[in-house]
Parts: sequence; structure tokens; C-alpha cells
Amino acid sequence: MTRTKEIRGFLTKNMVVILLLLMMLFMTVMNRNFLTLSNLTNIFIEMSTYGTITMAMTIAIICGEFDLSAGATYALCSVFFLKNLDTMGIFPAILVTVLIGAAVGFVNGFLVARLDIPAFVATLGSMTYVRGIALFYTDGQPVSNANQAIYQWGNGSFLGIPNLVLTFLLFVAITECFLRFTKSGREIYAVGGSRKIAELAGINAKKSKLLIFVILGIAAGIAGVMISCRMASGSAALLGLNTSMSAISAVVVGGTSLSGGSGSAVRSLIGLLVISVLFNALTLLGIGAYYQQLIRGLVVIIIVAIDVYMSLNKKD
Amino acid sequence: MESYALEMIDIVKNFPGVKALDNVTLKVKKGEVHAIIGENGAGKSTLMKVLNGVYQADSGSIRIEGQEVKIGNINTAKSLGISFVFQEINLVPTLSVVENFYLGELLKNKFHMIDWHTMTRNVKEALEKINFTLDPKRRVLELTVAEKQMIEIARAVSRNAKIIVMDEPTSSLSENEVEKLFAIIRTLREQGITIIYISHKLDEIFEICDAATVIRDGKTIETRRVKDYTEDLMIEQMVGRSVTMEFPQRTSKPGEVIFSAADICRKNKIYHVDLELRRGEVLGLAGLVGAGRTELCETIIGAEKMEAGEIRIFGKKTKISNTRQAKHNSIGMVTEERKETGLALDFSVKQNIVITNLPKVAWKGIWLNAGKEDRAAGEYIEELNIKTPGMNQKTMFLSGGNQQKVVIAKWLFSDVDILILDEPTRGIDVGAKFEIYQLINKLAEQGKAILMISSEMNEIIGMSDRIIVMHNGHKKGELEKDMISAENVMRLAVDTEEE
Repeated sequence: MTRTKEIRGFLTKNMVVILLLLMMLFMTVMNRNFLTLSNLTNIFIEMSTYGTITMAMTIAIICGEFDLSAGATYALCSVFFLKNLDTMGIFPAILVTVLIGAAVGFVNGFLVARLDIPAFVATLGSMTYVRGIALFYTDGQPVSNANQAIYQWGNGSFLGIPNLVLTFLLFVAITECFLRFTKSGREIYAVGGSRKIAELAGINAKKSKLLIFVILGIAAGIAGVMISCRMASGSAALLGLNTSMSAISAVVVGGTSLSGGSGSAVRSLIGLLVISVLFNALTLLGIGAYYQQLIRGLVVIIIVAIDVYMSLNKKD
Repeated sequence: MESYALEMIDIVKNFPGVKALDNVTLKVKKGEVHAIIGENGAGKSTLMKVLNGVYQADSGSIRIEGQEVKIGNINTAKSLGISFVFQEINLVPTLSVVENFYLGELLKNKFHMIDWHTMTRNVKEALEKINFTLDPKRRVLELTVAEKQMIEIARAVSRNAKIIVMDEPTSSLSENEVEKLFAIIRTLREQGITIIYISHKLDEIFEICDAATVIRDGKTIETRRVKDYTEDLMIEQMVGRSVTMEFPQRTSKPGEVIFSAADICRKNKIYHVDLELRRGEVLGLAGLVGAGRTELCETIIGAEKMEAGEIRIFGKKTKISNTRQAKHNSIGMVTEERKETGLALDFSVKQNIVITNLPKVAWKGIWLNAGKEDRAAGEYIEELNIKTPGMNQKTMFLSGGNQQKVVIAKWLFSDVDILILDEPTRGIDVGAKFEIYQLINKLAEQGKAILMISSEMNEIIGMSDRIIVMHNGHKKGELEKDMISAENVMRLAVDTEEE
């Protein structure tokens, strides 16, 4: 009896991991191109930019908030970096780009933390105006830059691992450490779990909320630099249209509840992998783009529904 | 033989560990206004919940006009002609009076559209029946509490209620509004409607009620005609008790004043309250439910806006405008709702304990030191005898008593000097209660100043060095150690004099 209970508990806890492994096993049998180094590398490269944003989104969701404007900030930072790279020099341009991201995040944080505007409304607004700025700044035209140094970095690798993937994994590690080992990280869990309890315990909830939006902005800035280095071009109109939503769904698929108070970077990494592997699998199986969109949406809903259902059962 | 509108005979209701109702018998004559009185937790609410079907009695019977009935849920109660007017109003604020009257059963005309005309007319008539005028098209959120009550009463009458139960109906009414309510009650009585009137206010009972039943510790003490009662007799019957509980002795003596509040006011809730709190003492804050004790403490810790008043901590004038500042000024509060505002249920025992003082377990104020966290948590788990499989167990899986110990551990760890405990032993079994009392003593002996709200007479008398009694948002009186007795507390708590 306890044996079956244990197994059920294990399944519930690791449902997403098991799903990921099953999916990979299925694909390995179905398609011999799946389990190749180049394909797996590809999955990770595709994931690295929006994955970076997903890590910051994880922090925000743990704190009980989320950000719809991350994709627009990502686009703004990308075009800004490409346009100013030559005049500023690489490192100053990176710095200023990240600061712009942080500034957008700060405004979001101010709206949510200080003015108590719901994150949905505040970031819905900034999603629109930030993309407006980016379009205005580039006149709606694609931007490109022939700088070889950044292109080589963006497409190069270190010890066989692509630089972008390394940057992303570094970000995962930093996020995990921040959440797990720092005072600010613990406070974010507390505020997300119950703002009232956190404040009674002397925690500055407003500061935590401000902080998470600034982190999101910085992550979007870094992701903007990363994608620019890889593509050497960018578009204010097209880049990052689905990024915020993809990031939120990866976090949720990873098992972090939107109500806040729990979650981790590693869980979100698994969520990202599930979504990316699924996407990759659908492409390898030759399923059309429209069907892919349909299937991805359904899969997110199904995974979360199963998760909710199982955790409800667990409480009984 | 007299005819009874309602008879509840030998009602027994057990909850795990508590006999909430122990052979309670209530007989209410037709067309009378019948008061039920008793101190907090005497069993009044439980009895009413048996009557409206929220709880099922373990044994006993209910008769309506002589007919034995089974009440399985609130709808059965309604169909038997019993209506309830509770303290919390059950109306949808954003809808109009008419819509609320017909909520879930809107009338339709022959075109299958909503029949506003008939409904509005009916509501007007229903309001007239209780001599009350109000535009039925107004939205409920624009109405005063008194007006909302009138609507509930009118709705009950229009549904042919034979018995109307009013639970503390005057608790948030002004004097003028109380007069109006009484006029309506008299009208209802003339129409032959029976009213069960639950109140703590003895003067109202003497004014409006025909009979009264005193309940104490889940038992019926006596039913008399109100004219045969005196105020003293009522108080005596309410508090007179057989069971006495042992309370652990405390060695600390009250020291210097470290907290003082002067002339604290909060809009419509708290009026000009003064209090002083000394090191090493337990100051009891007594009063009946709704007297404003929790509201006072919320104001002190900055959870609610203080309109006027001054707070001094260690003699220094201090402004506290939110709960975070309370903590920084050395005030902690163990709230009444342990599961909502006391513990993060998703957090482990360890995480809950250290949350109040993260800098203490952090290296350079940034990096959490897992070793220090474990040591701190381990220490308190042992010291407070918290029964948990491990410090990483989520607190949602602990028993009520152990959860409360975690909450107290949290504040022990926080280094605050002033601790407010709101109903610290609510929902905790007797054994764990004793341990909580010992912990409270330990806190006092460490030199903390403790302000304890409690609705249990035994507890507040047994634990306090001094007691402040609240009534209707006012400080009604203060009892020094040698003046503390159940009668004195109750006399102040139900005080009938004008404020």
C-alpha cells in the first residue's frame, strides 16, 4: 500500500522529467536525426536567448508577478545594441544595452510595487510602448551589423559548447544560487507565498517586487545582446513577439505555480527543455508550422492540468 | 400547554476534543423575542449552525411548531421558515437591492425577459411591510450596514419566515439605527413572527426581549422571562464556572514600561485607547467578540491606518505606518488566522522560523548560511518540543498546536521585544495549550512585553498580570492583578452604561 503510494508520489513529483525522458526516448526510436550532437546542440542554442529571460521570469513568478513586456524589451535592446555597436565599442554598447533593459524593468517595477498597478496591466502597457520606442528608433526597418567579432562570438564555442549556451547555463546557475542561497532570494519566496506574512516579518515586499522587474529587464538586455551576436541583425517589428508568453509557459510547465511562493531555476530549465524538445520533435517529424502552434498550446494546458490535478489529489 | 415556535431538545454536538454542545435545550414561544446570551465560545454560534443545517447534531431533536424536523442544510431551514440575519451580510455589493432580493430566482415576464416592474413593486411592498423606505434600484454597496440589515430582514419576511435569527444585529449600528431596528422588531412581533436575538448587550436584551436563555460551556443554564432577570444574575450565570484549569507559574516581575500608546483612534473602530506595556509582563486584552481588540492591535502594528494617537517605544515617539516598520521597531504579532497570516504553509518549519530574522543567518547580510539556519531551527524545534518529522517538513502537514509553536518560534528568533498574541491557543488541544502557556511565560521571563488577546475567560484570567477590557472600540477599564476575576471582566465587557 505504502509502496504504491511512494511510487505515485515519485511520479507526481517528477512528472515533467519523466515526460521529457519519454519524449526523448520516443524521438530516438522514431527519428535517427534526433539523438545527434548537432541536433541537441541546436535545441540548446534555440533555447538560450529566451531561456535567459525564462530564468528571470521564474524569479518574478515565484514573487507572484509576471512580465508581458520582456519580449518587447528584448527587441529594443537588440536593435539598440546593433545600431550603437560601431560608435560605442563592444563593451560599452553591451553595458548601455543592459542598462536600458534595467531601466524598462525599473519603470515596470515602479508601476507595480509603488503604484500598486497589477502587473498584467502595467506590463501590458509597457509591452506596447517599449515596442513603439523600438519601432520609432529603427523606423520599422530591420537593422544589421557586419561586426565580425560579435558574430564570431555569437556563433563560436568554447570546449565544444556554444558560447550562447554557456552564457545561458551560467544564467541558470546564477538564478538557482540567487534563489537558493541569498537573503533577497528567500525574501522573494516569502513575498510570493504571502505578502502579509512577509511584511509582518519585516521584509520589504515593495523592494522585492522592484528588484524582480529590474532583473527581468537586465535579462532581456542580455538576451538582446546574445541574439544580436548570433544573427548580426535584428528587427523591432519581429523579434520577441512570443518571448514573454513562451517564457511564462516554460516556467509553468516546469511546475512553478503562477500563484507564487514556490519554484526553482532548475525546474524552469526542465520546462524549457520539454517545450524545446517538443518543438524540435514536431519539426523533425515534418509536422507543419500551424499544427505545431496548435499542439504546443494544447501540451502546455495538458501538462499544467495534470499537475494541478495531481497536486489536488495529493492534498486529500 | 403553551405553543412553541421552536424547540431544540437535548442537542449534543462534539468536535474532535471538544464537547461544543452538551444537551442544550432551547424552547422559544411563538411570537416572542428570545435572547440567547453567553460568553465567547459558550456555544451560541454552534447552536445556530445546528439550526441552519451547517452542522448536524450528534443527538437531540428539533421541533418547529411541534413538528419534529431534520435540517440538512440552509435550504431546508429556509423552507421551514427559518431565516438568518448574520453579522456578515450576505448580499452582492455590486448588484441592486431588487437583484439581491431575487438573487438566483429572477422573475421573468411573458417575453422571457426579466420582469423588473413586478420585482421592484414586490420589493417596495416588502420594505413597507417592515415600515422601511428605500429605493430598491440602489446598489447594495451604497447602503449602510443598517440598511443592508433591513433588506435582509425584509427579504426574510417576504419569504414567509416564521422565525428570524439575528446574530449581533446591532454590533455596527449607531444609536439611531438601533432604535429603528427595534421598531422593526416590534412590528415583526406584532405580525406573529418569532425572533431569536443573539447579543452581548444586556441593556438591549432588557429593552427588546421577552425571554432569555443563558448558555455556558455548551450547556443550557436557564431560561427565564426577561422581567424575572437582573443584570447581575445574568452575568453570574454567564461566567459562573465549575472547571478551573491549572496555569503554569511565571517567575518574572513586570519591569519598566517599554511600549506605550496614547489616545489611539481608528476610524469607526477604535476610540481614544491608552495602554502601557512593561517588560516581562503579560497584559491581557479582554472583551467580547467585536469589541475591537484585534482592530486595536492591527492599528498598533500599522496594518490599518491610525487616525490619531501616539506610540512610544522605549520612551521614543515612533510612527508605524506599515507592518514592516512594526518589526523594525521591535513589535511582532502572532495573528489569529494562523494559516493565513501566521505561517507560510508551503514553507518548511525551518524556513518559517528563520524568516523573521534572515540577517541573523546570512553571511555579510547577503548569503544565507545553511548551517546557521539548521542550527537555529534545530534549537527551537527541540526547545519548544515541536513535533515534526524534520525541520524541512512543510508546515501544512503539522498539527494546529505544532503550527502555533512554529509561529512562536519564529518570533522568539526575531529578537522583537514586544509581542502581540491574538488568540494564541485557538483551535489547539488542551495538552498543547499548556505548552503554549509555558512558552508565553518563557517569553515574559526573557524580558519581552506581551499583549495577549484572548476570548477564553480562563486563559485571560490565568495568564495576565493586568487586564484591559474593551467594549465597542473603547477601553472600558483596566484591572490590576488583585482585581482580576471573571465577574469583573464580564461586568466591564458587557457594560451597559453609555460611553
